[in-house]
Amino acid sequence: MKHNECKRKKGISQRSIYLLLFAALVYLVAAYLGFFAPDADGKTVSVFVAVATAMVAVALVRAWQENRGEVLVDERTRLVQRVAVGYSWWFSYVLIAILLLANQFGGIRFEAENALSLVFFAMIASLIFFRFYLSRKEDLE
Amino acid sequence: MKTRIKELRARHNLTQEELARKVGVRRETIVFLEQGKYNPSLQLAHDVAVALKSKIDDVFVF
Repeated sequence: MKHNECKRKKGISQRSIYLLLFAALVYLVAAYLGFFAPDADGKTVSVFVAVATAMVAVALVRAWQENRGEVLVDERTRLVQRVAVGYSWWFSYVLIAILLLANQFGGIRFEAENALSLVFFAMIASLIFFRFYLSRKEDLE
Repeated sequence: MKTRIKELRARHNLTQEELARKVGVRRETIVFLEQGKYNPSLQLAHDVAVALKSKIDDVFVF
């Protein structure tokens, strides 16, 4: 693949459009939960609305940058992303192992929902952290 | 890896941003290239050399 395949012509990329469409879907789910699911509490609906709003904000910023002709993705950012995903995977793997050991021998009882939530957020947070760290690091080899 | 990108860029009156746009990468990538902190792909090395009207050997010091 050519390194500058993603070289921007001015205009909004498909990626940003998909993100906006996905945000619209999340808004629809929130609306459904809010209006047609009496069992759903307000907190759940708020989380869905917050997530969708964050996605819209990210998509709009990206679209604005793309419209200015900025290159958002190149071979180095792709390399950073690949390495960050790898590091994040190992981080999550170790975290799960620690949770298992703590549950087995440490006397700390985790409920499945708590453990899954922890891993879910740890994966995202570690990916963001490693991407930030590696994008400022020197050679990645 | 040492490079002569900064010197050649100055000779052609190109800013980092302009060179980045010419070769289709982010400005940060040019910064890391100039500092010798990123080993580019052969394709990128070729594009940078073309943008600077030089040979790869003249731009990148192996």
